[in-house]
Amino acid sequence: MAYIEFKNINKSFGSNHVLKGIDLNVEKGELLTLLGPSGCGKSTLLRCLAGLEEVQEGSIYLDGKDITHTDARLRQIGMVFQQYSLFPNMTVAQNLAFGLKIKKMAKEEMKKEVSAALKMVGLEEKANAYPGQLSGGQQQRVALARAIVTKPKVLLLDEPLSAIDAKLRKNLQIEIRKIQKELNITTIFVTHDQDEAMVMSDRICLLNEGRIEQLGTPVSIYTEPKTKFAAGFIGHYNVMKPEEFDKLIGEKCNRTHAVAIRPETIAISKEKKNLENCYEFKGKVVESLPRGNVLRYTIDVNGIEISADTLFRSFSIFEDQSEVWLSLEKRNCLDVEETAV
Amino acid sequence: MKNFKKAGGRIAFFLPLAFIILFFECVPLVSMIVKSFLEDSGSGFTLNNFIQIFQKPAYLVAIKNTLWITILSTVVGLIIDFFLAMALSRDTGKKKSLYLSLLNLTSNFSGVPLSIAFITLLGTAGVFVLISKQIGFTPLASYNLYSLKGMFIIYVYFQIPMGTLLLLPTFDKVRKEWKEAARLMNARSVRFWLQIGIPVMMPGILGTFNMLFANALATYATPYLLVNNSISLLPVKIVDMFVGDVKQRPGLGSALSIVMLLIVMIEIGLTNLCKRHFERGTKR
Repeated sequence: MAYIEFKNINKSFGSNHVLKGIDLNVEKGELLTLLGPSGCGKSTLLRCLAGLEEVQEGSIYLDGKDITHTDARLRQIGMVFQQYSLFPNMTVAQNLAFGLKIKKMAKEEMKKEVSAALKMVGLEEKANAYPGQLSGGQQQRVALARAIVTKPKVLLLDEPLSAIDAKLRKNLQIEIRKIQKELNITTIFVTHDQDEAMVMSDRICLLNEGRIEQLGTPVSIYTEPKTKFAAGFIGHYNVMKPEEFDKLIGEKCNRTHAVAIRPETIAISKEKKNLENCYEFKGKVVESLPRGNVLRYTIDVNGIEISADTLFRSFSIFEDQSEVWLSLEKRNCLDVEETAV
Repeated sequence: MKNFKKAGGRIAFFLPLAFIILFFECVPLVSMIVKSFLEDSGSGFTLNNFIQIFQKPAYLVAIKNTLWITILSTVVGLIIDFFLAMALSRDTGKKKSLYLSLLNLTSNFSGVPLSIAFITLLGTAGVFVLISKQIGFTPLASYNLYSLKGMFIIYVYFQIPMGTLLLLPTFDKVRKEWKEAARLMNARSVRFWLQIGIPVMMPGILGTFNMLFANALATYATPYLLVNNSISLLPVKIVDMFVGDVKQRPGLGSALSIVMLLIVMIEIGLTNLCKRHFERGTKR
């Protein structure tokens, strides 16, 4: 039996059916990310586990116990919210001690636990500061410390980094992952950012319109998307119908499924290379957009626009409207379903 | 030149307000302070007016009665307001706007019309009193509206709509995330409100307390109509000193007004001290 089990979870808000029969298992010590666009039901599923939303159909098991209708107070779950969740009238240390006081922990022990948690998030010197005196990143680190100081069975992170600037966000991703591994605490992380999900997760559960679109390791989801949605959401794949694919490569393949091609698997050159097990076709550069260390080209091939990524190096930039040759390994053309089965 | 014109425009904009403050607040205040240190004849400096206030039992009783009904009606009103505003803050849509309209309406229902309404209901021949006498419900049958304790109900009544309307926005300060975080840490609702909700709302609650306190302290029409001079209250005493039938004593009236002003200032000072305590850390 898995540590956390969601069985046929259904949840509606009025006429809006948000969760449609979710079945999901999470193993002990695992960090699972619920990934998906806004409104896909990821936060609702998390809140159902926390007991902050009532499940209308289905059951939730935690550590072998049915907690579907257990009061949120008694579930022993720690949670970090998107923002502003620290009690503003209490200092950082008081925020952390709040849950320990309810546990009736001895004062000395409480002090030790609080300072150990603060040390873990690197904010020992801020123990007497109020939340209003901390930066957004520091506040979220305190929120994380507060969530783990009571030693919950599960840690829930509901888009905790979404209000934090990009650089700090990357540092915090690593920090959270490090702490999670150190404590070996079962964690469910919610995000709509696929890069964040890739960096942090043991497994990713991709949600779309209240259903699980795909579940797997970051590598498997990235390299083997099963549906058009997964391909489009996780890796900026070029997704096309079979007939469009035929038009792209200039030959008939008799494929029955849509085809997904990752932009970085398309190689661009000035001349044809005549490679084995590759499709090679000619196109015209429509535009190029620098995306950090990657240059993303939009290339028109027989009236079909596709994206191709190359490393951003000044000596290999192709001008707009220039003719280029594209080569694509056959094994990198993936069949994807229309929707999740 | 442009800046000079801009500044001139700004001054012109605030000039009418400045005049109103000067002539309707500053001048009467200064005049009241000056008069409070003058003999009633208007000539010669004296401290006699203040000495009388703190020596004669009639004035001390007036201060005591006024403080009793003001503090008690403010505290009781505030407690009722808190729960009403809490219930309203959880509601949305049509029901909430209906209640808000009702509160707006009743907050303007005060003074003489309100007193008459209470006389009709709870006066010696009031509807509820007569019905209670018929059915033998003693607490209401023997209700004496024309006493300090009897008037208390009217004071609380007019504190409720105003206090609820003033408290309602402070409930928006209490974030859902705090309630949920506390709940996940096994905190019951009472603990949340006592340790987080109310302390966060405290500046707003104390602001409302100030308003209700001043509202009750300065209430004149209700006690004048119901008890007049049979129960001594500061506002009635002050007016008597200026428009009394027997003898007018503007010096003593001004001194009583200064005492009333001092009571308000002490109350505001104390609430500000409390406010500062509760605002710790919440401001950057």
